[in-house]
Amino acid sequence: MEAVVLNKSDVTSWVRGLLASYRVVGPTSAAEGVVHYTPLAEDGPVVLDGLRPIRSPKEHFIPATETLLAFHGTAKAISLEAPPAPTRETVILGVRSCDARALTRLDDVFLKRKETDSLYGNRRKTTRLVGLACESPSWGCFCTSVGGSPAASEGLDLLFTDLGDRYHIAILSEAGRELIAGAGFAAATDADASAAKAQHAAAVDRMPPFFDAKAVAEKVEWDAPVWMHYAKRCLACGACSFLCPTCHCFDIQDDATADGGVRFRCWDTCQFGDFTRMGAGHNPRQTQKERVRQRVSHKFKYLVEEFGRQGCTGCGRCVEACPVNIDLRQVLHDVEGAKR
Amino acid sequence: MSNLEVTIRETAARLLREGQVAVVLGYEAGSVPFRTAPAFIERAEDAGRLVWNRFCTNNLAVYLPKLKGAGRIALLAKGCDARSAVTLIQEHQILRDQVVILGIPCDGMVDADRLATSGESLFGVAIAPGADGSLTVASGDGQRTLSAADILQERCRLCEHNTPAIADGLLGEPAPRMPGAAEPFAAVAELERLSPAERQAFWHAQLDRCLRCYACREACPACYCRSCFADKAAPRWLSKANAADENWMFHAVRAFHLAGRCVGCGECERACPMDIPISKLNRMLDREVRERFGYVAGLDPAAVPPLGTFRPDDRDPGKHEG
Amino acid sequence: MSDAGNLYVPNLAVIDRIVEETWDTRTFRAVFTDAGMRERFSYHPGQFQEVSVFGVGEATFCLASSPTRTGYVEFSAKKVGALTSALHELSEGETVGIRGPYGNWFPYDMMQGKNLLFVGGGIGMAPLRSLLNFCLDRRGDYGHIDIFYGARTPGDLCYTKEFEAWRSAPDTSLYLTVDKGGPGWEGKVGVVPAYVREIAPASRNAVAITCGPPIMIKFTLPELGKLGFSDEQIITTLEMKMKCGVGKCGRCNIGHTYVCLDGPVFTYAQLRKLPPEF
Repeated sequence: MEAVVLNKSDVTSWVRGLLASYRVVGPTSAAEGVVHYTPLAEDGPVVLDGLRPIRSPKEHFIPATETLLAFHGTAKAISLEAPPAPTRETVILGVRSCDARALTRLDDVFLKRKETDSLYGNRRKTTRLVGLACESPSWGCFCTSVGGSPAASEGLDLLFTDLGDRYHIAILSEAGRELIAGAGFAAATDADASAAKAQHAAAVDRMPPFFDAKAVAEKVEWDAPVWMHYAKRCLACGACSFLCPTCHCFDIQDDATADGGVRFRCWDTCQFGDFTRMGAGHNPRQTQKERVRQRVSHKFKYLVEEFGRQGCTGCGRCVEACPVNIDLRQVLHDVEGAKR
Repeated sequence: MSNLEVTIRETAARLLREGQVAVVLGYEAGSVPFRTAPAFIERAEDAGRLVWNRFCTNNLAVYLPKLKGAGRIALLAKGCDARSAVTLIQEHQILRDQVVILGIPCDGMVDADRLATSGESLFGVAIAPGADGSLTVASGDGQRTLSAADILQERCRLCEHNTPAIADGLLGEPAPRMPGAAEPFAAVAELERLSPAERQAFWHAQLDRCLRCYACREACPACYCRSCFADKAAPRWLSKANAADENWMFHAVRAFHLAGRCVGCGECERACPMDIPISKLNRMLDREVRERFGYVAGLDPAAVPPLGTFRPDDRDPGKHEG
Repeated sequence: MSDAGNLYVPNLAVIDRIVEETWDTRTFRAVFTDAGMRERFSYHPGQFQEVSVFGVGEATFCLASSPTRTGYVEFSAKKVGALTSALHELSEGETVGIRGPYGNWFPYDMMQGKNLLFVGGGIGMAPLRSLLNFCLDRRGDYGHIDIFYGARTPGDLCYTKEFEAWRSAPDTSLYLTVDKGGPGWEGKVGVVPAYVREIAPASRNAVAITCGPPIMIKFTLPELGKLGFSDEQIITTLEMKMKCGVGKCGRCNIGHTYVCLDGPVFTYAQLRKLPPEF
């Protein structure tokens, strides 16, 4: 595989070069040290090391809130305005393999299922993903249980591996190659390649699979006691879904202003009590048992039936974020073993 | 701690065996050593699942309104949890004789985020508690021994009621006072020194990353409204749009709804996946309530929280001194 | 104007006519403002639309009009929440947004040459009305038509002005009933399923299409079974909370079936295979 190396000391000037032609998004450290993916400024430091960040690049494809259209006037006379498509190409740095794979799962829903969602699609078309291999799993991680790995290349244009004072960069697509067309990159040596490979293997070894995802798809049962067991403690918050890089459910709402308003979509979750509640009050999923069952079944059975692959890439954020320690690895282990 | 664990298990088993309660709410081992999970023990033979350690941080009183009608409930309650139960009793969300409050003297819960140094992973760690209150954290990269007292959650360090004030029995000796109990508002001192404009900037920056996941609300035992103001379509109090000002509205209004009712358990902040220091808002209002009304939440089941009632002698800063 | 690229931008339509069907239900007739849209717009009975009041929101309504009657679309709305209340505040001449048509439709091709049994309750009559008027407009394509329609009280019956047209169509029978009678009501009093049992329409070479409150469906299905209707001969249309209407927002699934994509029309045979979550 073709690869180059870049000294860590040259990263800033590389990013500066990218900023001349692209909008660059990368992991930055916000208040309380929370790392998230934000548009970079010329001199902004980018975090290209450490554990998988708690936020994912998902929000650059499905923003937490996104205007669908604006309207001006009143019901007596109204005009509509659709938001413009992005014109600049975007590059996202520091993308973890789980998150890149997750975007391919979102593609299934937004691009493959029936109609194309152009709002999502335009962002996908104009964005390149620069990956960063994980050296250590974060405590909730389980990518290897769902067919992934800390250095998987699926969905990425480049893959950075941290070799101490420099990065090994695997070139995974033509779009990726264009990003490194410039000075500062030397060809990767065999030693570099071996070091990267060894690091990847070591990271994989740290994470033996917690469950067999294929077996789970067969074993998901409607009436299993496992749902009630976890539903008892589930608080029906949205932490798991909102952090999940494959969760995509949204609500559509209007905000009115004096002379018009906007229609927007915003993140929603099947875990909220009123997600499926109808205007007159009927709710097909009345208790948390139905909702916990829906989440797990949707990700590990229904999506497998529809697209042949799970709606989960094992990033572990839900595991870490859940205030009541509903650990999806444990849930699926129970489903597989039909325990509880 | 382990004696307390034995007592907890025996008490739970006895209450269930004797038919005194239908369910015991406690903690069981989590999926990793630095987490516990809420446990719903319904059979005496399952009481062995119950644990007591430095990670029993959840406020289990949050489940009381959800279990209404399930029969009598035994609640394993730390000082904060017991005060939450009292708040729920005051507000008729559960009848006093429907809950058996098993008071647990508590010397603080550990902040699990501080078990690892920055950038270090807790994947696969083992944690061994020492008799001296130490925790030895062992991972593939080596091991480290920490003093639990050094990495307590801030809300524990400042806790004024770590031995439950109201309980149907205390499962152990009263715990010594927490080191910061004399200065409960230390966590907000810095914030209180800032000007209103600076405070606004602080909260704007913090709430910019709020996801509106409502983990804070759902983890809070005092937020039990079946229809929260934030979710109402008619009237529409709040937009669902995720923007710092809408986020601020949600948190500010929620903080006001909790004024005089919040017991400072800190679960909101612990539950927040974005590490937003939400409980500072509640603590600042807590100080206001104490100063204006001389009231502390969750200590007297017969009391009515100040914002739930009006007394002619309520202090009005417009009329009286500021 | 509709942006072909952005799924969520609605077409503008002017409310041309409002009929107060009952104290809480109105039928709205809407005409697209764009001439091209008026020409192009086509749909099948059983499909639905996302109708919006700008500044308030969007909600799902089945098309209650028949595509054989061109130049407009109709939907009926019961006032239950914020959006429907806003709809009820609109006057003729005001503008709404309409996205659609979405979903599948009644298999009217398969129904040709067969006898049709409509069983509707309350506002559930709305999607049935679309199919019914469609079939009546192509009367020769279908066999005998029986229509059972009931509501809680006489004041809750919708489409009362069309009863005469339905009743007097060739080889068509209309059976109206109410759960509870009232002054001036000289018709049948009793629940719809009981009336169906009493009249006992034949199931041979017939298709039953039913829509109404869950309780009505629950008791109608066994009656149809006793009359000899197989699960494939019974068709219904489901109501689910929806937002996008195009299979993206993830809300309306029953198992791996999305009601906005694979429905809302289902045979009872199909429903039996789905998890019981609707």
